[in-house]
Parts: sequence; structure tokens; C-alpha cells
Amino acid sequence: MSTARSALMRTMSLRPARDRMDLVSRWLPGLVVVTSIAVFGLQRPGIFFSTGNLGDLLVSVSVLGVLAMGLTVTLQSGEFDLAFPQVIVLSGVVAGLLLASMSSVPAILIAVLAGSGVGLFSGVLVAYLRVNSFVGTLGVSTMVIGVLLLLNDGRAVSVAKEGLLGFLGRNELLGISALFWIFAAIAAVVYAMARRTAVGRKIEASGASPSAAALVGINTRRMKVLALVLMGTLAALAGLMLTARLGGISPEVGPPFLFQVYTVVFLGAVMDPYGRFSISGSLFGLLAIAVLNNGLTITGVNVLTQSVATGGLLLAAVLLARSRVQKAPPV
Amino acid sequence: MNVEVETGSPSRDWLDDAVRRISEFGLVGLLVAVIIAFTIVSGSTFLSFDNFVGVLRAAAPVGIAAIGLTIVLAMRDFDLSIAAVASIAGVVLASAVDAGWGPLAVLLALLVAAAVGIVNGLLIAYAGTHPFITTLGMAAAVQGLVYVVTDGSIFVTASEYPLGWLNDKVIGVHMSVWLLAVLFLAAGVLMEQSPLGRQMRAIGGSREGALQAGIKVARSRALGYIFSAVFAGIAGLVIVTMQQVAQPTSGDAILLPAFAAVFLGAVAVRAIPEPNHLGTLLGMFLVALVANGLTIANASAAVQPLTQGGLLVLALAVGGARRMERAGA
Repeated sequence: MSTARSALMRTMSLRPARDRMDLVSRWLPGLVVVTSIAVFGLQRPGIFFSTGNLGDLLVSVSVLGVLAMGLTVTLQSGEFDLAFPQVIVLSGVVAGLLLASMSSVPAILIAVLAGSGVGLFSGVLVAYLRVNSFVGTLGVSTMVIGVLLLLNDGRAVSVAKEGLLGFLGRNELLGISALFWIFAAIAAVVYAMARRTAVGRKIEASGASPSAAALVGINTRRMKVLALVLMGTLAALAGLMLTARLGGISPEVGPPFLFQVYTVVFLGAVMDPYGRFSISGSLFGLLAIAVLNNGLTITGVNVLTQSVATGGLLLAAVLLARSRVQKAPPV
Repeated sequence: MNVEVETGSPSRDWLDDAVRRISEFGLVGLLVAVIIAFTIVSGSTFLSFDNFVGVLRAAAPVGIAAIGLTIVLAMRDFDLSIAAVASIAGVVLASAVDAGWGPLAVLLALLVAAAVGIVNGLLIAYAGTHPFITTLGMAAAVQGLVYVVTDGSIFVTASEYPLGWLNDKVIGVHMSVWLLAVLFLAAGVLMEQSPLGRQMRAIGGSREGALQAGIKVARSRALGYIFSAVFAGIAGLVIVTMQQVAQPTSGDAILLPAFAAVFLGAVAVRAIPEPNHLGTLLGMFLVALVANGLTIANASAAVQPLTQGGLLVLALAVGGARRMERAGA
């Protein structure tokens, strides 16, 4: 019992010796941010540093950021989720359809609960039926596509400007979009949950070393379910934010988020001495991807170069994270 | 006490054995049940030689991709890039034919597919990156390349298709179905009868054990990714030849059914859930029959993804339960 506890403490907190590779990888997201600002700032100073562009950047960060918060906790629990891109669409469509017949608050609540429900379904499959989360959530993702077809034949849905969603999409607080403040609030809550509460530590322990976590009395299955429910709930919130921003939602807006969100979270992981996933790391990864995407968009670079740039980043992150994982002390 | 155990244990063994046998052949049972159910609903429109040939023809791309996927999954690896690889093989074929490559376009398309497999294999087996995240990134990168090849247009049509013979019928069955059968047989023999196949299955059983037994684990795993990519490439060529047009997302439709076929097959046939080609063949047939039966019965479009996703989740849950049972025993 005490050996298991000390082994767990060791994986979760020991600091390794640093070397040159470490230095590069720890600063990779920072490097991306500084290089992007320098390059795009020099190329398009007028646009890049304008308040309008900074506002765009903060809005685009918001949806991606909420998803990254959820995925970070899911990956911490040792599981993957492939279903969230479809949950984004599901919550938007559910809200859009319900808003035609009811007021904003219950419609939004039901849409969020739909996301939590998908997360619960994935969680039970993964934790209690021992289904591999990667393939299992691929199946769940396809089932959600089926539900979308049932709901409205997979068509796009638009929301009225008058409702709460329209209001959030258009209004600003202190000159910054309301969507960004929602993201900031969610990030603060998830950060506090992950760092300051027992549940957060238990979730991380369940992923870091399931056997040691179980030995110290953590219900690892329940932690995995919690993580996937959080992912589903946050994906639903992200879907509502996206719906608010776009004035509606269509099925093809979901899938591109899959790759982007994984890149954000893995970029964050390379900053950690052991390649662990963390909320603070993901926030740095988010900043890097947001600045890079924004810069590439305003300099009018084609879609290919954009996908090569973000794809290369993910690959670099994965390779660097791997060299870290191998350095982790044996449990 | 002793007597009780001695008399109790054979009968419990017999019961365990019976349960295992039923679940081993559950997939065949499910297949028979599906055939009976759709025959009752749709009669001879469903239960006819021509319809079954049509089902197999439609399933050929999924089946061919699933053959390669079975090899990768048998080694406890993953390949999420098969859909993008099938797409790029298709658009490379169509573009190369128009650029005057003729039949060599087939070779070029398969080389491009193999190249993706080589990169996957080097990164995952030799550099030790995570299979899931690496092939996810590779899928995005290859999809980007597809748009470069098509130059942003939504389809590419070739003046002729070098594999047009795949659409011809021999003894009442399309050549693409014969190709599917030959590839299944070849891969089955490779995995079950050859030293390489046995080594690959040993890696799936225990990577550490295989390493200590002197098996070249990294080389076999890399080879698995190359197999997977080449089979996905062939699947892409069959799609394009069947549809007579190459689209940037032609391959997307095979991803889920291929995974479903392999995982359905993994829980059938053998007591220990393990991907194998006979099982994959049965799984592919089940997924395809359900899709076809639902189409004939005029089911709403929503039912297709629901049943396909549901079948995959069901197979995984059965496999998970079986593993838990073994772990408990």
C-alpha cells in the first residue's frame, strides 16, 4: 500500500535531469508563439497587431480552448475520445431545433445534457465494459452521426439573433467577445478542478498508473467515466459557443476540430518534464496554435501550407513527448 | 469439500465450454439471424444470388482495407490513416492516367500508399511514437496532399480506368469480388501458416515475450503498417474503378465498416479476442448484409450509421467482457 503510494507520488511529481533535447521541447510552444509573432508581425504589421485581429484571435481561441480543457482531462485519465467533433454538432443542432419551440435556458440545458449523455455512454463502455476507448469512441461518433440524421436529416440549423445564443455571439464585455469570457470561466473552473481538488488528482492518478491508483483506493473506473462525461459536456458547450458565433451549425464544422484539439493538448504535453498532460500546458499549446493559425490566415497562405504547418507541429510534439515518456521513472 | 469440487468442476467446465462455443460462433448465428430476418421482410429481393453478389461487390473495398487492418490490429497496433490512404490512391490513379501514365498509374498509386505505410512504420515501430496519434496526424497530412493532387476540385475523372476489368463478371461474379477472395486467402495463409504471420501474432500476444524470443518486433510492426497502407491503397483503386470517378473523400466511407469488421471478427471464431482473417471476412459480410438489407427494406438513412456504430460497439463490449472473464479466471 505505502509502496504503491510512493510509486504513484514518484510518477506524479519527480523532476528528471534536464538535457538539450529537453530544453528544445519544453520551449517548443513558446518558440512557435514568438516565431509566429515575429514573422507575421513583420509581414502584416498593420493587420496582425490591430485590435480587430486580436479580437478575432480571442474568439477563435474560445471554442478550441473549451474542447482542449475537456480533452486534457480525458487524456489525463488515460483514455482517448474521438466522438467530440460530432458532439459539437449534436449540441448545436439540438439547441437549434429546441429554440424553435421553447425558451433559451431549457433548450441550452437539454443540449448540454445531450453532450453529457454521449460522454456517459462512452465512459460506461470504456470503464465498465473495458472497451478500447479509441475504437469505442469511433463507434460512438458514428452513432451520433446517426442520431443527427434522425433529428433533422443531417441538415444545417440556424438560430435567431434575438435568443440568448445570438446575444452571446454578438456582445462584448470590456471590448472582448462574451465567448472568450465563457472560455476563461470554464478554463478557470477546470484548472481548479484538475489542480486543487481530490477528484482532479484522482483522475490524473488513474491515467498515470492505474494499478497504483487502484491500490491506494481510487475508483479508477469512476474517474474515467467522470473524465469522459466532462469531455462530452464541454464539447456540447463548445458546440453552443460555435453556434452562437456562426449563427447556426452544420455537420461539416465538427470534424476539423479533432486534429486541432489533439495538436493543442500534445503541444502542451511536450512542455512537461515527463510528457504529462496538463491544463496549463494545454493553455500554452492553445496560444501557439491560435497565433499560428491566425497568422497563416491573415497572410493568405493556402490551406495546404496551413495543414502542413499544424501537422508538422503535432508530429514534432509527438516525437518530443515520446523522448520524455521514455525518461519517466519505472513505477 | 474435495469431493464437491471434483464432481462440480467437470460439469462447470462443460458449461463454460458451451458458453464459449456459443459466443465463439455468435457471429455466424447473428449472420444467419440477419439473413432470416431480412428474408422475411423483403423476400427474394434480398435472398437471391444476384443480391448477394451485389453485397459482396459493394463490400469489396471495405473488405480489402480490413484485410490490412487485421494484420496491424493483430499486433495490437492501430491505423487510423486507411481512409485517407484509400482516397489518395484513388486521386493519384485518376490524375496519373490523365497525365499519360497508362497502366503504370496503378503502380504509382500503390507506391504512394506504401510510402505512407513506410512513414507510419518508421515513426511508430522504430521511433516509438503513439500509433493512434501518429496515424491521426498522418491522416490529416495525407488528406492535405489529396487536395494538392486534385487541386481543390471536388472530383477527378480519368479518360480510362486501367483496372476496368474489375467490373467484369466471371462465372456470374464480379472480378472485384474474386480479387477480394484471393487477397483474403493470401493474407489468411500469410498470418496462419507462414513464419512471418506467426511472429506477427506472437507480437500481438505479448510484445515483450516476442522480443525476448528473438523476433524482430520493430521490423514486423513496420511491415504491418506497410501492409495496411497497401491494402487501403488497393481498396481506394477498387472504389475509383467502381464509381468511375475519384473524389477527395472517396475513402472516408470505409473507415468505420473496416474497423467494425475486424473487431466483430476478433470476438468470433476464437475464444480469446484476436483479430483474424476468417473472422474479418465474416464481420465484413455481416456489416455489408445489414447495410444492404436496411436499404432494400427502405429504412431511413439514420439507421445505417446507428447500426454500423452499434455493431462495432457491441463487438468491443463482447470482447471486453470476454477479456474480463479470462482475467477473473
